[in-house]
Amino acid sequence: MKQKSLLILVFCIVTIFPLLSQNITISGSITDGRNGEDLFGASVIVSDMTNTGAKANIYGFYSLSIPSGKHQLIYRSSGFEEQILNLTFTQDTVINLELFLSKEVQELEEVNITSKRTNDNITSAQMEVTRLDPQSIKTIPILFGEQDVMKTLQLTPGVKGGGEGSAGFYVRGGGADQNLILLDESTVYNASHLLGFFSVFNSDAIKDVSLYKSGIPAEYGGRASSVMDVRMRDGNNKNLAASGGIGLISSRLTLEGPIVKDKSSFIISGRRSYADLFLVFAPDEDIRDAQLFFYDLNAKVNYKISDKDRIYLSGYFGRDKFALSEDFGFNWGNKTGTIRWNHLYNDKLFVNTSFIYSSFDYEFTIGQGEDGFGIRSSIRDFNLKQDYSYFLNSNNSLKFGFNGIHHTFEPGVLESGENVGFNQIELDKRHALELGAYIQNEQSIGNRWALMYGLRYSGFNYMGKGTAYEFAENGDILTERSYSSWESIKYYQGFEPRLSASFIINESNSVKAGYNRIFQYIHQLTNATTSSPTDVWVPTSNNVKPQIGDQIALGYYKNFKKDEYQVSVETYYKWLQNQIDYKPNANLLLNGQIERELVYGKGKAYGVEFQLKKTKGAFTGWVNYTLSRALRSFDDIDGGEEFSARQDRIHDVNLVLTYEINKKFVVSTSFVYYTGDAVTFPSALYEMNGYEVPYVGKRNANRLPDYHRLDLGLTWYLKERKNYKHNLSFSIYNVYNRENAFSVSFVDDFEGNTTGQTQAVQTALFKMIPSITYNFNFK
Amino acid sequence: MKNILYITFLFLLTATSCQKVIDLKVDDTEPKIVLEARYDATKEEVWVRISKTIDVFSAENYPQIKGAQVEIIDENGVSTPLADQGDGTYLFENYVPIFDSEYAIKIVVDGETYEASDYLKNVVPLDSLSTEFQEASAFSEEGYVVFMNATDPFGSNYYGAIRKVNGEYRKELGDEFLFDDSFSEGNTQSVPIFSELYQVGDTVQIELNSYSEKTYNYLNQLRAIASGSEVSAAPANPVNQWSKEALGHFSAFGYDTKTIIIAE
Repeated sequence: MKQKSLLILVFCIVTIFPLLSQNITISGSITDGRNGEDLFGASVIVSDMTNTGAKANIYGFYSLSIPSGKHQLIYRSSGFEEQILNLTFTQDTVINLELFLSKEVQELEEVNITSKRTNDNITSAQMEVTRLDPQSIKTIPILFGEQDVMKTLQLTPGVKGGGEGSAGFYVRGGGADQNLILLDESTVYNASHLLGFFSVFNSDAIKDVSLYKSGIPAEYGGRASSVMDVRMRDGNNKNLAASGGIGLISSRLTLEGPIVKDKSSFIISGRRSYADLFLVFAPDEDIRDAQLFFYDLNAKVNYKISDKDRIYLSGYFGRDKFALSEDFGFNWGNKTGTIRWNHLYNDKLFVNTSFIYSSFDYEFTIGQGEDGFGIRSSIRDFNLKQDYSYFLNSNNSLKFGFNGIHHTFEPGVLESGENVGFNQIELDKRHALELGAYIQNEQSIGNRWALMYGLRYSGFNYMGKGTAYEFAENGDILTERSYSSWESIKYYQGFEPRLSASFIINESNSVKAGYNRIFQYIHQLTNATTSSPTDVWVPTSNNVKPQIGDQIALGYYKNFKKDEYQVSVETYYKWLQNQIDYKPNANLLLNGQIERELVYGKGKAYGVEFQLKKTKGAFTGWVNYTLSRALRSFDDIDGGEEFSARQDRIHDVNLVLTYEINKKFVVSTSFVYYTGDAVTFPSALYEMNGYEVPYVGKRNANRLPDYHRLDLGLTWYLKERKNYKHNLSFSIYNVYNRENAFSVSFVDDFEGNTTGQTQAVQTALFKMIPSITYNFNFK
Repeated sequence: MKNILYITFLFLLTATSCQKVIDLKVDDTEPKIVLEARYDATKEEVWVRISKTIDVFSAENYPQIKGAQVEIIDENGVSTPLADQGDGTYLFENYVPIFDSEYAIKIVVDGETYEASDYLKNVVPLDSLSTEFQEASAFSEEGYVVFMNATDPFGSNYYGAIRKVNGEYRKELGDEFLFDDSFSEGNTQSVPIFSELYQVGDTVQIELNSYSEKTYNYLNQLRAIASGSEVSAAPANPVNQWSKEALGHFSAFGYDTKTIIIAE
């Protein structure tokens, strides 16, 4: 009897105690049923409870706390068929779920840039994040027919391209170096190929791209204006698959498949351009021998050790090569590598530990061997990072973590052959340790409020081994001191508050606000109008202060016709401190004291962005208009007068439309218009040493002519075979042959001008360019 | 190096890129005074030209400013006036140099006084010229490269090499080859002039100017701005050399010269 009652008591404790504690946790992963890829941002909704749900993190993991009992769970991800589970929960449960493409999408794997839920733009706390799935942009017409996530991002509000021939971009008036570009958490220092005609991101290898431009989450730091987070695909863990494309300028091939089915997979993706192959037709032998190409290689493997542990290994190698016989060579490239370990402590606490390598270098050579010389420069990082996600309860999800990056800058090395007569020069390497720690909570309060608030601490230790200089106003060296390895020369630190708040008026209306402060400790010095691989990265030091960016933003979002149409208005104001520019006539080449060539100032940017988006139906696309300014002022430039940053494009319009005629044909178009870049033109001429010299007026007081362009695309889905899908994609860049100014020069001898009078002559890079690409998919 | 990038661009773009004349509005500024002063110590000649800026799209000639008072002053304070030539230039010939000393120019024009100075350095001797045959390449036909053989004296030195080919000076922008010894301090060196290749029978005369650092920097800055401002994001006027805001500079320099007749 006694024993029996004890048993009953134990039974009661086991069964009832969880009921008393009320909440149980449901966790697991959400993956794509076709290939096992994690579905970042997929959501689980508890349909019988208002405002209760969870979102899968970047590794597809979710965790949800709900009272035990009978519930209906709805699993959703954009473009996928919903899965509804009706279950009675009595204890913590793991549900790993696979979602499959919806019928509509199956017929045509064509989705547009959308949020996770169709009205997620209304309900999430985060201010508008621009998310691209590379698969969804493939019908948008792009130069040379090569789909490119970076070029497509430049068609979204607040993002401006660096101009033709430049892969750099500007976000909300910030500089091109103020964008943190991450590939599997690894910094990409130069995201361009062929001097900017392509980005380094091979769309076939990419799962997801997120661009944060306001209310930037605390987990990111280091660049003052935006974060572009690119994630590589994990590879199909169900079957072996191949895909690729053959284009006019480049071709690409991707192989992926399981190593151990459902446990381990790999993906390897390569791309190479072959513009130089056309050079064989050149009449000159040396031009025939010239090299001009780039290649990319992305590779990734992952392995599920257990239900709680998974490791990933990913890498990227890319290089541009240009060589003209033996006389001249120029090459540059990025290398990145990431080792990651996902670990589930329990059903609420997820942790990821990463060890990351990243480097960028360039080299150019003139002549060869004893008769030649070469100059090279590089930057190299090692980063150790740990990020925790703690799903506290259904209203709060916490993230916290830390990281440390060891930077090595190699500003320049000159190596010379014996016969050249140059001395060997090796500028001092420079070292720094960049630290970060953060905590952030995403919280929902009632049905109306969603908040995301956090704090990031950042520190930067500029350290030996090396020599630190102090400079006088005129650039002379005042003091000079040597430091040993790891000895701190100067330490900077700061706290960076981050906040995003959303007030949900109703299911289709919301207002959001965001604030962020970000410290930027490494800076890119650019002295040309186009982004060049030789732009120098320099650390914050005893002379160079960290850049600080503060931004407030406010937005209104409205969906109508069942979320088919989305309208948004966002406005922002951004303050930038410690901006960097060159002194006039600065010498950059192999300059060991480059810091004395710099001047410091401040910047501000403000604007308003309107967007109308249609997300469903045969006709999809968006149109946006941005009215904005980007201004700078430096005490040493025009006496501190405010001037336009180059990217101060006051009016900016983008239109992207896609129309699915039938299952076989999709047509698309995009149109771009913006105010010409702010540039400095001569304001007078004089004669000196026998030649005509321009007298330069105020900084960026003039404008290039306005830019506009229309592109067209057509994708033709060819007849499918059992395991084989293929299509032909045609595009026409610059349909009406607009000659947009790449540059303007002032010359008096253009095409037989004999009057001696100076004329403004513009150079345009591209007239109309048609292209064709054949894409395939094989399983 | 930017040029190298542009060669790459050219490769890519010869098929499609295009140029045309456009209408542009440029803010004109008030004419500014331009002072060009030169003391060629080897020719023993002091020469000054006074002018003003003109509008960018103007068809006018540069104004000639006459009636100014111009003098050159040596390190002992001895002042020598230049003669007004009546066309905006001022001249004094047979002015014997004191090398390794400072010279100043003083100009009084329109009631304003402008002063600038420069250091006349010792002339670095040009030991000899030599040639080397170069095969045809992507950049050029075959021909002979001329090398200057000289010993760089201790300390910073700044050079400009001017060519006279078959009796004619090469005067285009960039024809003066400016270089310093920052990569080759104190070396005996053979410096090639790649600007032009020569054929057998050509007579090539090289004048190797020895400049002060100030003049060398100015000439580089002038070159950068004159070669096309559209390339640089931050085009800048050369640093003002005068005691008051004025364009131009004063340089004092000497040169050594050698001649070679190209032979096989």
